[in-house]
Amino acid sequence: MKMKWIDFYWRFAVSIVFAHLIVIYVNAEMMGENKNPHVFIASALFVAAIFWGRLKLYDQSVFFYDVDRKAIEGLAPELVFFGNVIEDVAPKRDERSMLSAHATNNSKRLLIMVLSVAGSAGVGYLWGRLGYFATLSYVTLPILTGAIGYAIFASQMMFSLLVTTVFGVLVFFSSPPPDVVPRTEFFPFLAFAFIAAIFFAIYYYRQMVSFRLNEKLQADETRIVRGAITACVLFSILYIGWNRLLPKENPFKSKANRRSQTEQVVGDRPSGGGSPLVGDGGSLKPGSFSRDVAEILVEKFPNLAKHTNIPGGGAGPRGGAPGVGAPGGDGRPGDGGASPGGARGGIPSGGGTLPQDGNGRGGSAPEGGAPGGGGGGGPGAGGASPSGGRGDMPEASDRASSEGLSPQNPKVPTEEEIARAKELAKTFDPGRPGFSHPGGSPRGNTVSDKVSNDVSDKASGEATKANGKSAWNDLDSLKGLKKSDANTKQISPGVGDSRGEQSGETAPGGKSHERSPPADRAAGTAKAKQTTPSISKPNIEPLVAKIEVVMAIVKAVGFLALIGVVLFYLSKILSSAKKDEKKPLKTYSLTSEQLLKFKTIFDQIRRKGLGAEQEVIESYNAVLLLFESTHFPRADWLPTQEYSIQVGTELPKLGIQFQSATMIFGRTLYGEKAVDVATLEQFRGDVGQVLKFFGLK
Amino acid sequence: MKVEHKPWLEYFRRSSVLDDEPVWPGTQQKYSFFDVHRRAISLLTVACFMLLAFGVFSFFSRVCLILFLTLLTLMTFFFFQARALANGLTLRRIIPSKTVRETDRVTITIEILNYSEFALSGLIVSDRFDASQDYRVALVAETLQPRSMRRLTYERALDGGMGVKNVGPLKAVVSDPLGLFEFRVQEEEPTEIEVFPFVEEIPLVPVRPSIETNQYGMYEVSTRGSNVCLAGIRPYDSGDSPRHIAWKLSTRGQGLVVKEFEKSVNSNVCVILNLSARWQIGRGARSSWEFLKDITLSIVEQQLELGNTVTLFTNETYVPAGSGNDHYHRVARVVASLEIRTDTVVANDQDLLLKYLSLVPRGSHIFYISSFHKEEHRQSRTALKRLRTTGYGLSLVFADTMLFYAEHGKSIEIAPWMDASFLGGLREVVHEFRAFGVDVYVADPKWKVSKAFIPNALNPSHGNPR
Repeated sequence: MKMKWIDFYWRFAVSIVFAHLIVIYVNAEMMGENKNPHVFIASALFVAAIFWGRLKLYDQSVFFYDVDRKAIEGLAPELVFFGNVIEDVAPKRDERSMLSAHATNNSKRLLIMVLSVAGSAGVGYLWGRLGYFATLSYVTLPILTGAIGYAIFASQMMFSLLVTTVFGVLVFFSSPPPDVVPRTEFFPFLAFAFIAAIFFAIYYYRQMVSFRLNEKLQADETRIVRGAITACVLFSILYIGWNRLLPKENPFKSKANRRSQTEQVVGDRPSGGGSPLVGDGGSLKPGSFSRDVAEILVEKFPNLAKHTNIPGGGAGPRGGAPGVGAPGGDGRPGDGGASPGGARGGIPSGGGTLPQDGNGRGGSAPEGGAPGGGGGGGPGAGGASPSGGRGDMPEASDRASSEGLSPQNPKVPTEEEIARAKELAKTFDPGRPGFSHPGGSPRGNTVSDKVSNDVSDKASGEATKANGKSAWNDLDSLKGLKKSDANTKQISPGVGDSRGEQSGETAPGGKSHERSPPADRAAGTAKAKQTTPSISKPNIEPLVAKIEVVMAIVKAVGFLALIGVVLFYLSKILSSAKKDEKKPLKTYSLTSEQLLKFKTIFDQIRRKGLGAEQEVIESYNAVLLLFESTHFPRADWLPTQEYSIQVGTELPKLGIQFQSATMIFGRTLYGEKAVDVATLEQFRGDVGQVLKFFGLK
Repeated sequence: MKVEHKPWLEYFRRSSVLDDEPVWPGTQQKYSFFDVHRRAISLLTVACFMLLAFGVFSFFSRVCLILFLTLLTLMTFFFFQARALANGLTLRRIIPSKTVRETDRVTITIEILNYSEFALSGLIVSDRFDASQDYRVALVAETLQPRSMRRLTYERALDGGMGVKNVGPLKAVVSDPLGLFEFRVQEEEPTEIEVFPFVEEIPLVPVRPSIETNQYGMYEVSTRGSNVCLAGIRPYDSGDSPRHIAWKLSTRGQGLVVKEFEKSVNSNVCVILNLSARWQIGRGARSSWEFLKDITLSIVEQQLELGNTVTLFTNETYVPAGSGNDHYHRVARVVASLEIRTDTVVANDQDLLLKYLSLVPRGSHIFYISSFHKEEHRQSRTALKRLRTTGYGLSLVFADTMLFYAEHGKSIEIAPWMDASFLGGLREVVHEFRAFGVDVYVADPKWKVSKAFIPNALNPSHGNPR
């Protein structure tokens, strides 16, 4: 292997390793739960060992052959051998040698394979044991395999990946499920890292093939990176475009079989969260982006939000907000919603007091089940989202979800629906243990939410009658009404705290039976008629609304930009369909090396501060050098005037300018005429046109 | 320019070299699954696999559906982009001169014009330059901006033999930025370039003067000259032919005076070049027949410079006797265009000598130029000896083909089992003919042609031929 080859080879290897490390790091970040170091270190070692080990073991004797370009191609296949025309087998033999060298190269293949198996199995075990395959979806495996498989260490990398995958999957499905909570916010980075790694690998590989054919070729790193990023951006734009165009519900997926295989695998695990890759929402980002941004902004700039006094019994800063119940939460019993969206979902969470039968069984509120789907209070309660709702009113929530209602598209219920919902509210048994309202829709104004609100209204009305207080006040307080109540307890702030702390004790003689643990905690902490001082909470709703408006504008602009990009490329394709060879070309492409060289030359001429005559002569000589470098040399015997005509014939776009510059040069050098300012300006303009044609200006 | 898409099957076909039966037992065992199918794992294969996977899983997952559509759109775009690039590409070859001389170097310029609206990257241009042994040309251009042009050059030595040679076809492989789809752009017809032979100067090769020639030459003959050129006068000696008495000069009172004519004559040289395919080995410029052609032209040039008359006989054609530069050009052009025809094998090369014997003037000097082969020697030795005994001057030039055999042995499957003894025995043959009064020269392709005619260099009597 030649020295230049090794350099290039190492660059390729290091680039690929870095690209993979990004992917691995992001995957490890997604794992959370302090699994990052293990997974990251193990995977990094795995990737590094693949490249480093192979190079070292082979003692840099690895040869790279372009086996796709057959050696026999272009050769005269026939050989005259004393009267017989026989087939030349040498090219085939060479090609076999290439294949053999590419695959094995030397006798250390066994050692390589043993190390690969051992390393891959270990990494596979670790990945499987730590639940790595929960986040590394099956979708990405073929991509990764394809990207790496076509690279230089084809056989070894594919073999290692195979072993890793097999071991990982076996361990993943055979061992106790790991307690992993994927961090979905990393998924966009992961996706982009994957795409970048693939494109990067492909671009580098193609550069290597080119380099094999032409060793003088400069390794144009800038072009590789630029090309890869362009391709990634194109991919991302297309992805976003299709994501917007497609309905949120998979058109191919039946209602009864909504969850994909991976979602089931991941969803069945105690961690609870749906797979970030295949969630029903289908979007790469979590649902409440605007709210997250608003919260971050408020945290950093508190002045951006108005502070509101939250009365006791109100929800926490998040739980109290009008429902944002993002899809995806499945509302595990008692933990107030699994997903962040679900956790934030409860509009009047915990505030609902339903004085039902007076025995303190509490109905929804005593069990912590908040109307509007806040926290799952009791068993089976707390469906935070339409999809996750498993409450007692499945019809309404299911219908809401099946109608494609989303936080962004609330549907105003009809009178008929409200009436029906009221009927339902009358017939439900609030004293049933573990009762809770079904998962309310976000924003509190979808059908199910209306139903819940209606029920809440009714309940709160009674509660008010009974106590003169209403837990529904927290909703009012969020609306700025500030109806704080002293005998309700303020729930603890934070995500997922909407667990109905004030519980049934707010109801007269209320007693909780068969409480779920959160309800117990709520009951234990929330004493009836206990006075809790109200605190100031930031009201981020106006900010959220503003951000949503901005987001809507950004999305619209993005969509328009997407259409623009499509039209732009379409016009390019269509315009290329007709080749007009008579039309002069715009530019002459210089190599990167030539560009650098001539930029330096012309910069130096400018910086010298030469006189007019000298500038004309030196500039013209530099232009001649430029023509010579681009294979338009001037013969020694050819006068400059004739040469300029010749150039004009070959490069019609430059004809007039170059002839003009030549004329000025001739007068200056041979005529020894002084160059006035106007002539110098004209000369500069002509030379500038020449330089522009060569991409130097 | 002819633009065509790479056949779809070629994307998915495995390495063609392994399609054949292994030549040697156990060869196939060297290759793993990935080696065998490596060519099948092209970028497009991977992309199609991903597309299929996403397509299948799109029934269960919305993300997969989006990925499927995204990939499909991207691939469609790349396909049309590659097609637009290919349609917008123009290649031109600029050859400084269509007539060149062997062993010179020539610089070919390839002009690449990108008329499309896309930047063209990763362009591989290939050309074929038959006039050089290194005839495969692969050029890689850096990124070519939209609607721009670039010139690439390559230089080749004209060592691929003489005659009219093909240059091209000029091809370019255009692909999208990811290399998923390939389009081939090819010029319609290849260009031709005529390579004139480079004739090496050789040491003076002795030939026998022709007694019966009436043309002036550098050879002194022992017999009285029959030349038309008057050399001078001298007094009459008894025995002089009365026809040569200069009667007018004799009347001046100095006795009988006899006219004497020049004895310097030239030689009729006949070059018999045996280009029968049965005795040839090699390919292109690295072949025994190209070597024989070089030897022939060197001899012809020298003999013509000496003022001799040269006639050329080959298996296919002959050039009548002539002299001078014009005749040399004629011979050179004929020799340069000679090709080996394997379809018409001359059954018996003895016929070659006998066929042209009637055209050879009496007293001529014959150069018999052939590759050495035992069978050829067996067939021609009798005829050659007969020529010698019938008054012809004879020089034999044998090209040692053992080097070509060694060079091309790796290209021959049966080489390990083939007995090369038919190429041996050259030493004995040389001694045999030398004993018979024939000049024998052995030309080794390892050396220049001139070395064959340097005494004590490759002369069998001093060297060590087989």
